[in-house]
Amino acid sequence: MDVFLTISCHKTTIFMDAKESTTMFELKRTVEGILKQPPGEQQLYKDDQLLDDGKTLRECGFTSQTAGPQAPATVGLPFSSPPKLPDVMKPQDSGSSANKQVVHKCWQECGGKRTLVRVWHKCQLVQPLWKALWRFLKKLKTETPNDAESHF
Amino acid sequence: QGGEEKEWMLNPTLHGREFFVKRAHALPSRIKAMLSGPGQFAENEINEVNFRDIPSHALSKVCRCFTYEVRSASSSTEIPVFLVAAAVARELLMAANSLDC
Repeated sequence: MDVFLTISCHKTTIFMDAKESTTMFELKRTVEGILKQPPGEQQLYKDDQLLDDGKTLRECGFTSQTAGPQAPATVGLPFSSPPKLPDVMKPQDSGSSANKQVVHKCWQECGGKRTLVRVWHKCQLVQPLWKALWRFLKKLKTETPNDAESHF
Repeated sequence: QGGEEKEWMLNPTLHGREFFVKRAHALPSRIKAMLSGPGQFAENEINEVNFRDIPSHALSKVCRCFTYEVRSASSSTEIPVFLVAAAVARELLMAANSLDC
């Protein structure tokens, strides 16, 4: 006799029918063909009860009387993803972002240690900027109206 | 083209839910036309039929209808009536009209 099932896994639902004599492992093989999830990584549930691979649908309580086409029975398949590896267990390689030390450098071409005084005053890369600014200010002072000079 | 015919068909909906049904159960004419021809449709190439205009709860019921129709057609004995809740009846009718079934 045929048993009608809906296998729910997260946002995926599979509508299928099977014989009462189908084992849970065979059911997992069918799911594997669809979801590409190996049987070893599947856990099928009826309500809160984990279903054993060796048992048939009938033995698990799925019969043509209780799981007909008008009201298929639901088999749960929890959605599982591999747990994240803690950072301390990740391979220690030079490319790992977790092991990189943050080095505060001055302007990239300079390579010196980045401090506020160095970046804006002492670094060789900003000296032309200050020199140009100083020349501009001196020129601005020499071009001021006579009234400004009379105050000194 | 693209190898042997796949047994299972995928029906994605607007909200990310997916439903897998057997191709043999997808009898409605709109799906059948998509999957068979004449002419090559994209749905037949990827074995996936999109129903973005059908809500997921209605499409779930539609998929159950597919199986029920196949079972009732092949059964020599009378099978229980397929019940539809009033809350989903309207959307189911719209889906049926859309699928021409």
